Amino acid sequence: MNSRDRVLAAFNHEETDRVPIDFSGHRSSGIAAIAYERLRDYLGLERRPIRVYDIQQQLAIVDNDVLDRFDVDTTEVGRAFALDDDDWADWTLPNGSPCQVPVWTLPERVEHAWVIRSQTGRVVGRMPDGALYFEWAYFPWVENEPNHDALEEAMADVMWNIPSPPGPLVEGPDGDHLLVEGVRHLRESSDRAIMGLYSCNLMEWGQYLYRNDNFLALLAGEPDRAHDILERLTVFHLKGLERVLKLVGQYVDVINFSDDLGMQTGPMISPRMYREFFKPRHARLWQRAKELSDAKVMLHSCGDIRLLLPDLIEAGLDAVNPVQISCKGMDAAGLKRDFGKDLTFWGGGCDTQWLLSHATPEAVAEHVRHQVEIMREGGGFVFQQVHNILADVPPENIVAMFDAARGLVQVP
Amino acid sequence: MALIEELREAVVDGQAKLAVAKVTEGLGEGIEAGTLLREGLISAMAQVGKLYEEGEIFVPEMLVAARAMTAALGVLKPHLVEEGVASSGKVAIGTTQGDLHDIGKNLVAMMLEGSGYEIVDLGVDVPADKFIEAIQNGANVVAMSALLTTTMTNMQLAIEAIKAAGLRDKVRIIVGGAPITKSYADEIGADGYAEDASSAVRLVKEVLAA
Repeated sequence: MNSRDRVLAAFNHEETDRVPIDFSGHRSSGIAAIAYERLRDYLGLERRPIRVYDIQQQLAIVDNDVLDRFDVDTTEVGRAFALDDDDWADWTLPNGSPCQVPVWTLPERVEHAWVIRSQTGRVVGRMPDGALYFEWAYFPWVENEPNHDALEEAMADVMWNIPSPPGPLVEGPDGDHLLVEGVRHLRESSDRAIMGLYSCNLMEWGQYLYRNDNFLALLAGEPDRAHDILERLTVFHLKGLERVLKLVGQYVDVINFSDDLGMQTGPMISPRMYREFFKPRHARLWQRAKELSDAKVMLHSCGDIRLLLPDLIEAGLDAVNPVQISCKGMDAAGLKRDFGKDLTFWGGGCDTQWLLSHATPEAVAEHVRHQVEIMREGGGFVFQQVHNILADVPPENIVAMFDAARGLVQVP
Repeated sequence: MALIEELREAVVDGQAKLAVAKVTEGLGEGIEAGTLLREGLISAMAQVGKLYEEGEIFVPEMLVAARAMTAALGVLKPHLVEEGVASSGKVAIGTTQGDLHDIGKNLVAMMLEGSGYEIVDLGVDVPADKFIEAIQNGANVVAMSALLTTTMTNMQLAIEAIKAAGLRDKVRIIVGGAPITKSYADEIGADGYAEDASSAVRLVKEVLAA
């Protein structure tokens, strides 16, 4: 059974030789560059410049030697691109270590902070000294009167629009050809399951444009305007999704959609509001994805979203991520009992909000064994720590986590 | 009083324009600003908190209600000053140093303001000396928020700094944010922890009474 079979078997709710492992297959299962540098040293692997492919979250490309060490079963479309040294520029991590970033994302120094700019030259993200990631510096429809007719112009000035690879490498007249060749080569050269990250966020784009509080208030206070922008976003996303899937849909195993709907204590919005504004649009996007490929549909949605799961399932979801088990309604056993036959849980393998960074390796291993035992029964589970491994996570804990996930005796 | 009832309803329903109109109307009729505040706005926000805790409303509905309250309060404020209505307490609020996530913090600030507290919003990425300055300027509660495991530890440093400045017994300190728990709050020597905006209001009342 190879990696791809193992991941797809999980979706078919078949138990496998060991649980499939995701690590850095998408932008919420990765590792911060600072933690990755320490991990490589700890594993005794050769030193090499760390490549930070996700500038906003400071995530490192996890090299094949590490993926092999942990028997990782996933990769993502982006790993097929930015393979030339010319695609990378030298930069320095907040801890002073040298690293490289995609040339189009190279930060600049402005007043005790690093900043990143949109293509229009506007500062859209900012990392003040002492911080470990970039945060929004600009919300188009806070600074300017919201203009839904100028949606794409506004989107260009959002921090998250600064792309990870491939980004600009598949733009231009030769872009389609390069995209197809890159992904086909990845497919032929790796048996890891390939994830296509076509997030198509609706709630989040509303929040990026209007800012979170204003967009939530729009949903409650001006429903017609909220419907209008969400409909335009859906049409925009469908166009992008169709272009990509017509070209490379046949090579992709899992499509990663994304929309954070939860908080620590419950969903951000009521199930009624989800049904009115989001469910029909998610259903359209996911159905189109399935028409254009055989890929499975996964939604990344942080927090306690338990109350929304029945509607997400009805809308056509195959897998939910990251299963934030530290949140109120997200107890793994309860989720597995109530939704396990209808849904694959991609995540929930190890708490990252407290345990992974603070506990001993033994406690991490014990916790992971417990989670895996609950989640793997009857398949429907892909192991992933709940979110990106942050800069402060000790390498011992990372090794303990992945070893425990594969049922190996833990070597501290 | 029908007008106060209508004001309360306008706030609970998140109708800012109507809430402002009702406050203006009430003042015109000679109702005391303090009465409009207590029986209209504060009572409405208590109702909003209750509906949130019962799962009847969610954050968007709470937000529009808090915004309606803030708009109406804006009209009331000069009249409250004139009448000499004292706030229930002064709360200095901010996210910890290095943390830029302020959605939760803003919601807590709005709910507290709607419950009759004076808010000193220190914003995001707040160093310890800003909290100290706020205490020196009369804040009797410090409320700190952190979203990340990498920034939550700065809460403890801020509390240590407040102690070192000799101000710890002059202030109640409460903490919140996704990775924070009651036991962490106890461990770092905070006076309390709240898991959401509506319980933060209850907590402030409790710590000030203690």
